[in-house]
Amino acid sequence: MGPDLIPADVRGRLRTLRLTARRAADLQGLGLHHSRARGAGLEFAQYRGYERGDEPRMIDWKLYARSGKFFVRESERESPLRLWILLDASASMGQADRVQPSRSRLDAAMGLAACLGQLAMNQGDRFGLVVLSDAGLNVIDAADGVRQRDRLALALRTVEPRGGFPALAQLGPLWDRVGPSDLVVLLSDFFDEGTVTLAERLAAAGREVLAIQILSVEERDFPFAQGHRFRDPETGEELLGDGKVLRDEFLSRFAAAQAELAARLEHDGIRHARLVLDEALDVPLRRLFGSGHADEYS
Amino acid sequence: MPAFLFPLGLLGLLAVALPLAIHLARRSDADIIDFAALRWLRAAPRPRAQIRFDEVPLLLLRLLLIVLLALLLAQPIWSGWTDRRPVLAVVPGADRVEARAALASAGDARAIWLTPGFPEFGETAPQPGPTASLLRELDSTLAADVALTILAPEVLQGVDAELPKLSRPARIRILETDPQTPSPLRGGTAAQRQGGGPAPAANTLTFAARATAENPNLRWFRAAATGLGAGFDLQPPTAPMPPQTSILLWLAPGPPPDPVTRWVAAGGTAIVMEDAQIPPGTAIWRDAQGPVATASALGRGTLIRFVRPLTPAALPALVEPDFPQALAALLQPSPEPARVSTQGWQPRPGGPAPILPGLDLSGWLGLAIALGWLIERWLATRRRRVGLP
Repeated sequence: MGPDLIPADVRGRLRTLRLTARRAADLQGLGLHHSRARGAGLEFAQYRGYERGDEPRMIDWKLYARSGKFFVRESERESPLRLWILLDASASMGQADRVQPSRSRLDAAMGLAACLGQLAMNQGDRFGLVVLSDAGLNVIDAADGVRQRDRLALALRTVEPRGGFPALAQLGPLWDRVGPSDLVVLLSDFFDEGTVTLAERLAAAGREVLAIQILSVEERDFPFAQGHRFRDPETGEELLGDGKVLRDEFLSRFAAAQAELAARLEHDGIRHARLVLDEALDVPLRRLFGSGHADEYS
Repeated sequence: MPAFLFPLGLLGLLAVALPLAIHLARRSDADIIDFAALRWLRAAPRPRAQIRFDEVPLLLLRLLLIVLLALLLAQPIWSGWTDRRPVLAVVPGADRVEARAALASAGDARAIWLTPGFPEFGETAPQPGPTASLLRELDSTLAADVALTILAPEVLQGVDAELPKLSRPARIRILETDPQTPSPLRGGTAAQRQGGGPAPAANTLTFAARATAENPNLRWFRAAATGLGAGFDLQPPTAPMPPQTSILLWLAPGPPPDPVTRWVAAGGTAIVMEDAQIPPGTAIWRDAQGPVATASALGRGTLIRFVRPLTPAALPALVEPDFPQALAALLQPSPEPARVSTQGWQPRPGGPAPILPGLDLSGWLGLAIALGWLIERWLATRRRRVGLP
């Protein structure tokens, strides 16, 4: 993976995109969701010590006059939107195509997460990250700003695909943090039943859930003509098979499974999009947020 | 028709298993592919174990190479490649004009001279060879269904004691004797023209005695020489050796001295007495009482030894009137009869079937193998197929 999670061309196209929530308009908040609330917040939250990088205008000079130390006024942002990026880090996400082994499914998911963080930062929304793995959840609490974006990028770089999808019982911290009416984007391959169940439950609990499914080219095209040993990265199960023999059957079954998944997601009002590894990162984002009016896709 | 001189070499065909094994698609150690969507694969029916091969063109080429090598081991020949035209074998001495007419009337027949090498029939007549032997050779080199006609003059030369047995019926046509061919019947000596009696070549004989004048045995040889009209040259034993054409009479007892043995070993013929010490030989002249003379080889020459004393009591033939002729026959055996009237001479059937030498295909096969090997190397070392068999 390069130094930047977001390719330059994708970054350029991101400017035309805007995170939208279907329910954002109904929320209590200051103005429209689309307004860019810049500057300090309106409601004081706390003081904290000055750190390098803080803007000088954020410093409370009166407090400096009293104490001789720099303090920064932190205020609660009154933004109606909070974005939660749920990143599936199970072992199946480590799968890459043989034609491009350097770009795994997880790499694409990390790129998408970075794009989403960038979008949220651009419009001043708070965003957080939850890395889902059965080894434990890694949570970056929701915040906004450039520092949060960097925290996100830092956290993303340490994600390793291993293990399976966490059981529902392990997802307690998630329910603690994801509040009602939050926007939840789930990045996964959706091969695991647990992923779909989580999306369904979040949707049923009033969260707005977006599902971005990441597929490899091999899963879409099944370009195997020789005999191969196929291995499930999560269960370690192996299957010895001939590509030509398996192809038609697999493609039809896989397409049926995808159709069934799409039907389940739509039944619960979950907007969903698909990213195949040979496509640009912003393809699913454009599909979900393309014109700024997500309703046209629902 | 192809045939194999060493059919066991075809066992080399078993080696075709090698490239087949090499090219067998090794599914067991196929590369492992991470495939998270395995559950939609797994439900598919398991593929039957079907045999598949990688790089079929290269495999076929390698199989072809193995087969060619096995064929080469089996030493293939092309035995059917023979001339099937009828053959007119012309015996030298037959009238060439008549022979040409016979050839013209025989359609697509080919005519050859019945001489060593069987040259094409032509204007110049070659020297006649051993006719009967050549006929046997010709019969064994012709395919079984080739008709053979022999164009012979009235008198055949070079025949031997047995009528040749041929594998095919041979027709003999008697032609006029060629007037231009030098024939012993026309050009030989008067005695040969008579055609009878042993050739008295005795006038070419010369006895060279190396003995003292008082040797009692000398007189018998002197008398024989006189009877034969042969030369007689008496010299003391110390005299130089005579020319090789002479018959050396060494009448001294004991082992012959070095000059004599050297002279004989160089190709001469010497007569020695019973008391000479030489290795025993084989009897070449017998009478009622047993061997009279033996002959033993010495170098390229011959030592003839009288095994009995030259006295009328021990050797009655000494006083017989034909003693000179008997002595001459001993020294110059008359040639065996080799001429026969063609009229009564007919090869007999029942000879061994011809074994035809085939065209050896090994050279062409080797060329094909070399070419195939080059192509195989080219195919096998292309850059894009790294890691394949």
